[in-house]
Amino acid sequence: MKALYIALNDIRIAFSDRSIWINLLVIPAALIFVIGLANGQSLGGPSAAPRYPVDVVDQDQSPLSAAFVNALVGQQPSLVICPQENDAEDVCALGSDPGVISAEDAQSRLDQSRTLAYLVIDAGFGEALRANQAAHITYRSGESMTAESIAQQAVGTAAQRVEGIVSAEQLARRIADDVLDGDDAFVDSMRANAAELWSQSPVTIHEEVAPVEKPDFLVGLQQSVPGIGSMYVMFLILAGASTLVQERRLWTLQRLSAAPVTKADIILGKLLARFALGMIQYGVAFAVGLTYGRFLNVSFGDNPVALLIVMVAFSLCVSTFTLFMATLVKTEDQASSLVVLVTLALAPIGGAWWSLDLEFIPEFMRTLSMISPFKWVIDGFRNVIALDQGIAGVVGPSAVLLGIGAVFFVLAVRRFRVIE
Amino acid sequence: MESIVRVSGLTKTYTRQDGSVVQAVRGIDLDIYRGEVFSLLGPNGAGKSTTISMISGLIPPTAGDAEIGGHSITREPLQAKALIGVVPQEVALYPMLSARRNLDFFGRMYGLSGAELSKRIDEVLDVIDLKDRQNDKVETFSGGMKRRVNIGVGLLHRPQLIYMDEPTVGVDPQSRRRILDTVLRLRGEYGMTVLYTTHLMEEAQELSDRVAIIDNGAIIALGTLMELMSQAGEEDILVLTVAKERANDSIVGVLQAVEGVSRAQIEPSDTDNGEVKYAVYARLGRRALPGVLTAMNAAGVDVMSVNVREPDLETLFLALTGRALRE
Repeated sequence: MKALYIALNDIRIAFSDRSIWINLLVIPAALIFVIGLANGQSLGGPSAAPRYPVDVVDQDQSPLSAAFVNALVGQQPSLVICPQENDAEDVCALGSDPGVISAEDAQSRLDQSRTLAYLVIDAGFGEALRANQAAHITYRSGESMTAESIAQQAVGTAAQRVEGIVSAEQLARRIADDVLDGDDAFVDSMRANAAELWSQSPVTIHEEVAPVEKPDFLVGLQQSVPGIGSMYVMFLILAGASTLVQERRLWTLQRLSAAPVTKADIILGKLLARFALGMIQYGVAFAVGLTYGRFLNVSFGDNPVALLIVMVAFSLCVSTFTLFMATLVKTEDQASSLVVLVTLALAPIGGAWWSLDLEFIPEFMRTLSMISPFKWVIDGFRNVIALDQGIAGVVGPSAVLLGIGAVFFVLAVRRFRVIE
Repeated sequence: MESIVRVSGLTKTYTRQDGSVVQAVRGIDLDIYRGEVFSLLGPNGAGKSTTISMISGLIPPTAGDAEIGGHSITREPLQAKALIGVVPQEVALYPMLSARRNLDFFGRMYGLSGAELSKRIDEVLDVIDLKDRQNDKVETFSGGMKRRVNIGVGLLHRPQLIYMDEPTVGVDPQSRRRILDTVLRLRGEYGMTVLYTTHLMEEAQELSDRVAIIDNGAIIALGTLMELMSQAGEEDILVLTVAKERANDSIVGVLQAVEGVSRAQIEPSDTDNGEVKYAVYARLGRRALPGVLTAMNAAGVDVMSVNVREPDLETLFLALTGRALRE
């Protein structure tokens, strides 16, 4: 219980200085964004395959114009034929009037880059086809759109199909007139069969957009939130070494030791305080990351428990190192210098600034990184966020961090003195 | 009388980085009685703080032990520490916390909590007269106010023994007076035993029931003020300053012949400032002074100045060590 009071007192002291918020929130939030930007991929991970709306204005409303539109629908997964393929999420962005699109509306939507292209099937399209006359379809697209050819190809394919249907219908009419005494039912049946057959042929080229492959390492905010967050966790926890030296100078540590408090209570209290501050820093870093992520479509995996495990392991590891460091330094200046030196050396080596899985990182750096606790904590985060390994992915890295922590804990307890 | 502190063979030895061994405290034995003000008097570096640090469990002794209320500080440190209130020489407070927060935290370290802790804090704030500033940060306080909070922390758990390590160092005369009054009040009103360390003879004389004089890590005198004064001798010392060219061997004989003077001697001096000092021992120094001056006049020796030293702890320390207490 006394250890808990000691920890709470230390946390209260840390927050009694309002400038803590600069290091706890302001600087990490800015660095997370900047480093996230530098780590690329639009600050985030993979995005869904794009879909392009194409408006259809059917001014003919004949069976053959309907057959033409049907031939367009579902031909290319990357195209959405509007309004026929509009869905509950209003992928065509038709708003409150989803039924019919006028030629003016279609032009306006194209001008606003809300659609890739639009088609106008002129009135008399079906009659002209049956009469072996020219039938017109107007196709307009935004010239800068790279996916334009996909729409053109689809329209061409649909036109071919309709021509096939018309040819079958004309052939059936001749047979009906010559042999079957003008049997209209036969002609209708042939047209329907031809439409069914042409819906599967001729051979069409299906354009499939390969899903953007999810990288197996951390990029963008997924890298900077845990990376910069962990770096500031280390800054905040290691500052405890300076605090301990200050307590010796102020004699509060000696006064604490003169009270009926065990050495174990003092060590545990100091350890708990630094650990708690580290976890608060992680909380702030991930809160900032989630806020950014909401606007930039970035997620940090779907296993917060696994993330928590690796955060706890890292915070404990650094907390015990802090106690050990406090036994090495004599002055607050020495402690402060060592905090900066240790953190700024270990963070990039361990992959807190950029992923060590990037191709240009030399192999010896990957080997060297094993001495840095950042390597293990970032491995844990990568396994959860990028590789979806869940708790199984953090067991190894957390075990290494806890092992390092245990070594420093033993050393710290053996060397810790109230009066140096 | 019942002892609350029993110290036996307390020793502290340090090994320097160059390998040399320093004996900071050399086998101290002493008893402190319940309800007394006991002062450890000695020059800086004499071993007072080291002795106190061992008695209060801050540093382990190399040898020997101290018992507080029957509990060994080495074998039962938690029980022994619970009986002690500590007022270190340094202002051992968290400057960025308020006076009340400091009292609250250290109170909890002594096992106090809830309404009882709150009540004790209010009591202590009354004693140290800081109720109106209780919620202000300690860093905004004057040196004297910080010292008072420092004492307040030591009083919170109503200890049987309170140790104060030079609590008046660096404070203004008004705050010093207030601190000394607080010490007297602790003994008078609360019946506390006070262990007080100082290098100021006046403080030890004003406050103490008994005094131990410590030098070079060992106690060289211990007793009540009366006992120590008698060790210092019952005679006053008249110190006569004479110009060096007028001094001669016959003067000592002239002085010893004066009625009421028991003996006279030249005071040893390391510096040659053109003066010689004669120490004249007399039971009633001020009464013998006219005869001394008449005799010197008759001998044709001009006396440049006269200083009358009545016996005190300073005299005793000088007599025991050949050095002044403030050196």
